[in-house]
Amino acid sequence: MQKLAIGHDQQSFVAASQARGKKVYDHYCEICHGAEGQGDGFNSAMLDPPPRNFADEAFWKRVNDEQLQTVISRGGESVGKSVLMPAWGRTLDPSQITDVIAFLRTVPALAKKAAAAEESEN
Amino acid sequence: MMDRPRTYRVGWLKVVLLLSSVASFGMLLLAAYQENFTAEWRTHQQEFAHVLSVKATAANETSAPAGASVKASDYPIEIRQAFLPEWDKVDRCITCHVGIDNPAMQDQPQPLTAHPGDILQHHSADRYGCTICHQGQGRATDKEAAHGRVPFWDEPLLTGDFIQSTCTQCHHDEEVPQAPVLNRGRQLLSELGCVGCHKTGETLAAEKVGPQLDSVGSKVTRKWLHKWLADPGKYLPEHKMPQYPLPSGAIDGLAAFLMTARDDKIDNAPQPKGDYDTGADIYRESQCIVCHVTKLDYADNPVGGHIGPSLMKIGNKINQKWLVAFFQNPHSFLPHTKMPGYHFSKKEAINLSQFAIEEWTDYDLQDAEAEEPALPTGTPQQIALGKRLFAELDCAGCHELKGSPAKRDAPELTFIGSTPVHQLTFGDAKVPRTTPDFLYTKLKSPRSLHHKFELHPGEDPVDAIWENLRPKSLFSASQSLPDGAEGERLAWLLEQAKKAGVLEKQLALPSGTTAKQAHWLVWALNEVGALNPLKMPDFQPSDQDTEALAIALMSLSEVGAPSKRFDAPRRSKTVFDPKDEFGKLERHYRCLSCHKIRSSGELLASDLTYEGNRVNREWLYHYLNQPYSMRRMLTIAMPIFHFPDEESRLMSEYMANVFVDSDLGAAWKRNRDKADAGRGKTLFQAKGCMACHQVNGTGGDVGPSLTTQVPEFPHGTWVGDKLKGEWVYAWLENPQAILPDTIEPNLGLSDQEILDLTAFVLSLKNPQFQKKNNGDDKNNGDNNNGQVKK
Amino acid sequence: MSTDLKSTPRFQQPQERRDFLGLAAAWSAIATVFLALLGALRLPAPWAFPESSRRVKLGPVSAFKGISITPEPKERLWVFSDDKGLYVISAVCTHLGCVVAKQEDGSFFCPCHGSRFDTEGKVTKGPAPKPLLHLELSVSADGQLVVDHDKEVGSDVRLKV
Repeated sequence: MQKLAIGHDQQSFVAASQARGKKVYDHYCEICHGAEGQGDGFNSAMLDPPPRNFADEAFWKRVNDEQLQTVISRGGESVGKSVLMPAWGRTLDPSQITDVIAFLRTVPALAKKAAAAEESEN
Repeated sequence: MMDRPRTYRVGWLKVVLLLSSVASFGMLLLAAYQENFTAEWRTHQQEFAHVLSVKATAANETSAPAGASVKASDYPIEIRQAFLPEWDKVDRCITCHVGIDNPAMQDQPQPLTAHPGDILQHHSADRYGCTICHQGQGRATDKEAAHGRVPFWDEPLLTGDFIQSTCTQCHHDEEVPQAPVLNRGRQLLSELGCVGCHKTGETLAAEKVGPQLDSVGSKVTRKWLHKWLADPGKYLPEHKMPQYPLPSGAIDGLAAFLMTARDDKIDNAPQPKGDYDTGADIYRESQCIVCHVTKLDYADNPVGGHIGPSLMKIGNKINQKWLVAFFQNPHSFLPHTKMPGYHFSKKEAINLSQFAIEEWTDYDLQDAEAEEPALPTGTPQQIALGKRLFAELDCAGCHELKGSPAKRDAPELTFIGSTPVHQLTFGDAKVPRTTPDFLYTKLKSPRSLHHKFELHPGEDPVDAIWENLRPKSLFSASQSLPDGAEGERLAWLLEQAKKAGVLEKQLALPSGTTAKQAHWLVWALNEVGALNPLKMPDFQPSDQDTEALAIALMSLSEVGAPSKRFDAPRRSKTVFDPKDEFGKLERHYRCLSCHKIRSSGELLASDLTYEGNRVNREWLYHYLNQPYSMRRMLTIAMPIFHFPDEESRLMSEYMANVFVDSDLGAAWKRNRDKADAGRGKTLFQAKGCMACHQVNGTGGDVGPSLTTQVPEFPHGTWVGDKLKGEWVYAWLENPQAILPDTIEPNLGLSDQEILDLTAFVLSLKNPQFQKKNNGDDKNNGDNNNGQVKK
Repeated sequence: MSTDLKSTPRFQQPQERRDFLGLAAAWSAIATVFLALLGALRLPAPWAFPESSRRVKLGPVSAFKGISITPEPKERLWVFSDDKGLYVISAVCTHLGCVVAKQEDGSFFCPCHGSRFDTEGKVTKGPAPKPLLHLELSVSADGQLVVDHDKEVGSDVRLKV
């Protein structure tokens, strides 16, 4: 049964972190940042400035994990951004935030893949 | 030198001795070298020491705390172990996994990496070791052996979510924290009805999961019952009842038997004729869609809840007379249903049934069925056969039926997780011989783990086949094997199999010897699975569910903590089931199907545990009579039950007085005079609350609007009209403490900030409503302690 | 032939091929047996015995900081905290291994034979021959306080935290 032979290598730990992060993201973040992380969640229309689009690769060149950890745990206010991004540091524990960031890092690649799939369909 | 030939012979032996000695010496030397100097674990520890020193140097450069300097040579290379005498375990896993409790090693690859998550904070590696949770062979120091993937080691390293199966050694609660897959699996064990046929010890509650069948003959059509028994998925793709591989003869018998379970009152009632439109209104008021799939959207996806069965084709299945009786008193038909009792009069029930039958009929299917020949009524033999089959397959494990008690004689699962692997029957299946693989395969395709039936030399083939034909009821009771020539008896066997619908009608014995014929018959019967003794149906669980179930079964193990000392404290579970008037009402309306009260119930609707702290009782009284949706985007709300006035008054009074925790938000009661709504308003903006909550039409739609407008509602519906300060205070202080899964973030506000924000939230009262009730201080939100007005 | 051999020891003869072969074969066989024997003799002395570690984690360092005395009855020791840092005094009497009791005034008293120790563990009354042991403390990678039962330190040694 190949399915049961889940490895214990580093890669599967990263994948597990991303999977946990996706779960946290879907529960807490998706409503504003969107199911695919493109800043187009159900509530985004109500927000000015709009929520961050994580598919934006320029954004990933600007930030590192530490900065993201700060924004997520202490809110947009803490880095001079919008107060509409609340502080999650008391709701999520640091490892959950690490997981979310691990997931967010996969967003640009996922977006590209989705775009490519759409193109090939057309 | 004279006798050269003789010395030559001695020399030959010497050469052999020399070569073999040198070879063994070399091998021993190599073994000694490998064992002592290049053992796998030594390499890992040397690498670890190197990483440690690199990290320490890096830390020193950034002027980290003193004492962090580590030289690689300082790190002792040795066997490391956790010794757990009580568990009789010596876990040397940390000999290779050296960085397991070092958070700085998180970025390292296996085996040096740190343990993921924070689980070691509560289960330190030196107190609990590794193999209690992960299994494997703790004493071994080479990888394959330590991971237990060697012959005769029954507990190989658990992979993925299977680790959760070992939590139950110390955690005896039904729900184990941090083991979501295990919890899901246990829930599935109950939901799928596994416990109906298998005994599983005390951990899992055994409640029959299928509907009661006492009036099934009056409820469904004969044609539907036939099709359902043959293939439930054809009628309802998301069916709960598993598919039994039954030959047509068995289905005829079972259907004939079940059609005899009738309710004369329903049968003798006149054919109801109601009004579709009135029924549709009742359907909307009753919010059936919350629990049932009741329509398809533009892309043909089902819309509605999945608590009850889909209603999409009930018109093809259910007798309207039965439906009328059911609507008036669902609990007499389905005692354990989550469906609430409504106050339907006979006329309302008839109208609703009219709507249901007309709305939810697949008319194409109906036309097609009308063209099929009518099914003959069951013969007494068929009915008797059905009764035997019902008992043999233990249908009563899931379905209550008068006169047919459950046997629960399937293999006991109480300790299935610790059953030695050699005692598990893998049959001819090509799967690794481990318990997880066994359970996974068994659940995924039950029939694959089975030795194919074979004729053994020396036994009478006809007797052997006859003995092993399944289902047994079809072949045993009515007939007995005739005497005669072997060829005749084989032909008789084939005839019986054809009659029962096990084999195709056109099949005939091949010409040739009787041995050849017997061989062919065995092959044919094996092909259709008629010689497989397994009674377990195919539940066709998804991969994910299969894994969850296998994990839950793995957790049913005889292996436990060696002493009570290791038992995790049980979390108290307060079941809400009062015997008073409110309890009676709850059992009738089944509030707990949607609401949560303490640890009972579901969280489809609000948690009522602190309802008395949360809302004003007068608002609650009016809400029970006239519920509305709390969110702009949702049309789904609590059903309109048309509670009699005394009931809604009793419920609102009861909740206001009983569902109260006097400590909740006590700080608000002490300090409310220090609160300032003006400062609260500024805070509301500064903290970005409007990202999720609307005030006067501006703001997000994640949480409920704070200024909901409900025309015609006889009480204010703004947040200040509805909520109490103590609850708002406690909520703002720590939302997750009240509702663990809420997405309202805990903003870590100071006491003063919470006071001010609470004051601001309470100041949001509907001005129109305030005007209407001018001077009536009973409605001033938080101060409302008055009685409900009559 | 045989008398020749007796009178002239074989190794004094000029080396011949078959003799060299014989010697080499014999010696390598002896060496092999010796090595195998060595391995067999080592069997009862494995790399590690299943026994409790003498280095024990006591808990997160923060749990001891600022609290002047924390008894650890399971490990038979006390953890002390003063302004210079943390230190540990073993509760095992140096006389015959009874567990000493801590008195109100901070001194120690052994109930078995009446030995008394001052607050630092120094003997004030016999029969104990030596002061109570001060054990080495360290901090593990995951921030836990670790005591090593095998390593004695001076009474003035403190772990700075």
